[in-house]
Amino acid sequence: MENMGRQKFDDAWREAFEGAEQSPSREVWASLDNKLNLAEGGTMKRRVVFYQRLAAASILFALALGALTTYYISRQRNDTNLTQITEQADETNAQPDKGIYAKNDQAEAANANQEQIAAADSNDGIEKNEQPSSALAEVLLVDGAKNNNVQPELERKVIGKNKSARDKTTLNNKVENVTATQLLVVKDDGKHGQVNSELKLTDDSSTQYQSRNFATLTIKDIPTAKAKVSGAVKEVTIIRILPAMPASMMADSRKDKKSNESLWASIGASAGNYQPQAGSSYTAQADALTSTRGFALASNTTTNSKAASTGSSYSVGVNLAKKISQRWLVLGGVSYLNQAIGYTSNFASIDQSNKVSAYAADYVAREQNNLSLAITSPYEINSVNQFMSVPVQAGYLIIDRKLGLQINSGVATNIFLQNTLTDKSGQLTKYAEGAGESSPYNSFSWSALMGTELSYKMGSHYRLALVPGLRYSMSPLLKSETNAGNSMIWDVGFRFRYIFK
Amino acid sequence: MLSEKELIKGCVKGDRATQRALYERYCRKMMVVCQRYVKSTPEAEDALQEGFIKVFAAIKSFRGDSKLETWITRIMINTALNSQRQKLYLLPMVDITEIDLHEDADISLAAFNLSELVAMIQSLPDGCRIVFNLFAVEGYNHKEIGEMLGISEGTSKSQYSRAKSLLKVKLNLHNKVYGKYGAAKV
Repeated sequence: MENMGRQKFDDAWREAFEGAEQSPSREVWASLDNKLNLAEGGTMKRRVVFYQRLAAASILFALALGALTTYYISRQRNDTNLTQITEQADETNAQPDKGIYAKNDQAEAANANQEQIAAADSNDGIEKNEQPSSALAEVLLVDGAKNNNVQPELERKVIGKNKSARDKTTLNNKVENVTATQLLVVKDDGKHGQVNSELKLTDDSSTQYQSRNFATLTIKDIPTAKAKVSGAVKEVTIIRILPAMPASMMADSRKDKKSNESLWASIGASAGNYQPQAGSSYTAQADALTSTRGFALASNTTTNSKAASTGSSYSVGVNLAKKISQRWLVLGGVSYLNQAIGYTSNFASIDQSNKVSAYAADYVAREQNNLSLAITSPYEINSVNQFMSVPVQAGYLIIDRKLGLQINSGVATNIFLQNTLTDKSGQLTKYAEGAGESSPYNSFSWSALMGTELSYKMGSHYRLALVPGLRYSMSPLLKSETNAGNSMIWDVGFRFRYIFK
Repeated sequence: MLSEKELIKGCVKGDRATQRALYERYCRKMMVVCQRYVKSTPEAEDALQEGFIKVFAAIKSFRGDSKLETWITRIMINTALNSQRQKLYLLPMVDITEIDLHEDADISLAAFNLSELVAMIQSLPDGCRIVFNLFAVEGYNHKEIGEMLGISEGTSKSQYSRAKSLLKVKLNLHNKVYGKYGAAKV
């Protein structure tokens, strides 16, 4: 009926206006141009204000995060150092006649002569808190007596500002005054078990005892009494005064500017800082001691391996993300994770074929049927843990435009692949430990993930994202609970997204 | 001369020269569209200006499902309709159920120039003018027009019938048309 209603009259009018043109006045474009400029200026202004606020908020967030992290790490270190100092002081007080490292029970402290030249006395003009940082405490165990007649002589010589100021102090006091490095020097003449001990404390850092017949043990970072006092942390309160951008400012253009991205895949890589936290220092007693590196060993020497406070980490992986609502999304994927940290160890492992490998105290606690341990001079190990990680995260899109910002949070299942211990000097063989029942490492562990993605859309199918993140271990990596620690990784990476449409 | 794709791409980026080029290409045709829906040339220019602002703001969402010209025309019609919408509330709600469909004689408007035709259309009452444009020139049916304008289908028909009668009178006055026209029953 409608078509029938269209008659020749209508057709005539349609044809008359078809393709008809009439020039508008020039003022139309001029006015339009003005309005476009105004609209553009307003948009730009809103954009600038918004991104200024966003930048300010990001800086405040980063500052708060940095302050919290610094506070947390410094508190951890203080706690650890205080525990170590207390333990050492207790041991020394309980056995004042045995010295620090003179584990030889044949040594008698009654024979020890202690001489101190330095700032032990407040009347000598040198304050106790100003002990030279390069001061060294050296323990010389010199073979001199036979038939177990050990004469440990404890002597401390500090070339200080006032040599006339001398005072005898207890060994306990010496431990508190030692600030930097202690060296254990073992001289061997081939007569095992017949050792004279002499303890020397000196600030002459140039003294070297690293000849073929000496083994030196370095223990770093023993803090001074002053360090205990200066470890106090101030609590900082940061007040955020910038308001969030009112939703009304974005409401007019929100519908037009929202992205239509709902599914994307990404590849990415990240690198950052690895902190083993607790469990970074191990001490274990070696039961089986063997000669290696050409020097002899005391049968009850303490094995010790100490990890650096921070290491490095990197990961590469692929991810798949799916938007489940306008703002929320889920992410999953798989990635390879590599954590490396340096150790200082004073022992090595020897297998049945007499192959000497780098070794750390992580492994001492477990059963060792086919390995024996040997004390060595301290050497640097690079310990690398490798994992396959499967993260599952929820994401929230704060900004979903050409420039995107999202927060991700979730968990990752880490499948342990391998740990390798490599002697940095290259003298010892690399030691590798995989997963399994006999491994000191748990095959699976969990980590909590938190991070942000700041992305920029490049074309209709691609986005490049900057991804700073945090990975906190929720379950122990080691089977041994005493050595278990919650490691933490801060990293920054990138992701290159392909958006499916 | 820029292609349609280049025009769209430049306008999406907000390039003013490209926006100017797009305006220059379509402003004359769109001016006629706007003139048909409003009462005067200044009103048409206002609608044209507002329409192009909407075009530039919304061009990111243009997906190429239709020709760019068709898409711009639709925006111009909507803009012009919005400018006249208040007047539409005053439309006399006279419903008709039937139109006398006498076959029109062959007519030709070739003897009229564009200004005369536009003037005739603009001289129609608001409701008649809009409904006639939508039905006769744009090709919408009365149901669609009713939905677009928020009026009943019958009102659309009555407005169209009235517009047609008035235009016939005007054409006869000009004595430049041929044939006879059917009359609508109101």
